[in-house]
Amino acid sequence: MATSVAQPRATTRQATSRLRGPSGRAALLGPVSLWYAVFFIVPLAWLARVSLAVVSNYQLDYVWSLSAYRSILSDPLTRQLLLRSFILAAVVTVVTFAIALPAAWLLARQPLRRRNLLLVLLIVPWWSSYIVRVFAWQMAFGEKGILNNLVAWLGVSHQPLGLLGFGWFGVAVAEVNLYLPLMIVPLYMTIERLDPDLIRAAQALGAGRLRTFRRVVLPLLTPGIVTGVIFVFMPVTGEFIVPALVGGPGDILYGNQIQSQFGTSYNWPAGSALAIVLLAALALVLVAIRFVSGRATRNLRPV
Amino acid sequence: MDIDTPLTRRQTLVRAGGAAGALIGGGSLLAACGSSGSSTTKTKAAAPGGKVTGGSVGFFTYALYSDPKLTGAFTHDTGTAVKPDSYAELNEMLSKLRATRGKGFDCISVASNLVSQLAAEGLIQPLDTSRLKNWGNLYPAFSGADFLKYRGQVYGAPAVWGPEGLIYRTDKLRGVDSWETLWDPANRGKLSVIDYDYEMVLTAALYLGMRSQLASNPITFSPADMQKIKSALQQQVKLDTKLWADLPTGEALLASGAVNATIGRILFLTDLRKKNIPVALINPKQGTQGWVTSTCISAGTDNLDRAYAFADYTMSAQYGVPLSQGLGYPSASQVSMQKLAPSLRRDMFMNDPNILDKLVFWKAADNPQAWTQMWNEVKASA
Repeated sequence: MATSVAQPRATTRQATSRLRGPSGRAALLGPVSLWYAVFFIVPLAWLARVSLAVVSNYQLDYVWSLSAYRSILSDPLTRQLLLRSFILAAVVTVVTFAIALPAAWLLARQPLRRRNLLLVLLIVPWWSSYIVRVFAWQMAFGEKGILNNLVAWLGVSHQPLGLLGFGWFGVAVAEVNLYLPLMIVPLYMTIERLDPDLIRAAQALGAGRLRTFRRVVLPLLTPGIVTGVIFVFMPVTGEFIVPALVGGPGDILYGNQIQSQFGTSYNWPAGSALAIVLLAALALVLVAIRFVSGRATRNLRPV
Repeated sequence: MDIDTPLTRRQTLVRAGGAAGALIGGGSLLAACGSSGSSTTKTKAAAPGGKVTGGSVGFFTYALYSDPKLTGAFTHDTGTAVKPDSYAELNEMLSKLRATRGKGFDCISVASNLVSQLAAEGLIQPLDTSRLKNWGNLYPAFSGADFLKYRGQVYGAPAVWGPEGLIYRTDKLRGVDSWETLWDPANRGKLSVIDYDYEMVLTAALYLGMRSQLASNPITFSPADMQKIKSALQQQVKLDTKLWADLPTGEALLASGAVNATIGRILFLTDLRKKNIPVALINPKQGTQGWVTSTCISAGTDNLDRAYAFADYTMSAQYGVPLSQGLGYPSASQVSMQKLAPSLRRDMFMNDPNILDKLVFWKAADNPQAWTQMWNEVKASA
């Protein structure tokens, strides 16, 4: 009996050991590396190449030219829209975090069965199309939406509540709604593994609730916060569909500027250069996030 | 699950990434399920002499133009199935064509301002009009149109056209006869325009009275003209509550009362009247722009005979009459138009016998990149 149990364990250990070797790592990483090489690196390289081309008589001419970069970097509109997109992404990220943290905290403290149900409910909206969710949100809370009609029918007010009119506020609200699960899930996963004894120990040593949160809880949550921030901030920065659907006349963002280069104007070099500039800017943001999170967690490292 | 060990940042990223991937994957899967592919399967060879039988022809167009009510007669007469592939807007059409270089498409609906551009890009091929028996039924304004030509050769079989006039709620506004309605500060917050650079540049040029510039092919504006157009558009968008990019949104704005006036087309009129919304579409005193949608043949097709047969069909009364009766859009064919009721012809501005000469039909822009840039600057300044 003891032998029959020990043998599979030994087999498992051997298999794990093989996977840890160079050939095992190559086998594990091979598919994902191939996938990224074909569907990420190659398109990215092509994007970079097109950004150095020019268009003449509606034909892409694959010369080596920096004219697209010179043109967009000297254009005040590029800086203006990049700044706008970063501000929107920052606001959406902060609001999303403020809503997600207590929600994730409550979620992690629920009994297992209820927690699973709540997680499923949280994820269900993501099973529908992104655009459908934006339209549904607009239909429910727009100027002529269900909420305003209900308020008018009840006689509370005949003026629209303006919760989601066309404009910057509506765009921000829609973005928060879209990306909230991407902030809650990583926070929940970190909170779930938070050791309550650490909180009790901090309080036993005289730390108040705020100090405990700031000095103990927040640093321990940093991995989840960083993940959530990356998942929300990055896509919102390049957003162009929500401003087109929900935004007002002036709610053009950097993503719309990129998108407009690929249609009738047929300015692929400018569009590609704008995309490369955005990637570079986001890479800088990632470095900054890493720096800040490194400082926040430096006291957690083993001594 | 081990609850003693806090997750590292790397572990959390990896795990949460997996969860996010699952979330996003679900959405993508649904999106993929909702999309339809196109095929140009050819089951039978073309008969000698160019007459086609059986098989299928791919038609890349707006969904409205490939309704079986419109294309059914072609299939009935030739046995050739029409395989539609829809696009929702011109940019989408351009992106797909450029990505495929036209492979997989036989016939494509192309707006008149893009015909010479697609010809220059090598995405569509010149037409031999002698193979189009309905060509002679076209209004001369279309059969002789320079905007359908590139380097002297015809590239588009004009099928349907329409004015882009001023549409407004008759219960909200009175005495509307000018594009000035869209620039009137009294209408602030109750206006909307289309989020399409080309159309808005033309609207502003009409408003500013730049008829001679609009008559040139390609349409060319001096830097001073461009500055005037930009200033006018900057004034205009400040009065708007919303820019619409697709017809349902534009119609919904008018129907809900959120907007009293916008730039619009006949389909707005057709749809909104069905909902008993009081609207009128007018040809403002400064003039109106008009679009022409032509059936072009893809440079990448290997189904040429069927493509010619279908392009010819889109100029016929069999296609044009039900299209006009269903959507309200006029046909480019005189034969089709003569079969329509006078009330329908009036909605199409055809009570004016000179309307085709008066309309500023869409044609190539001399510098579309500059127009796009200007429109983005205008929006950013709103």
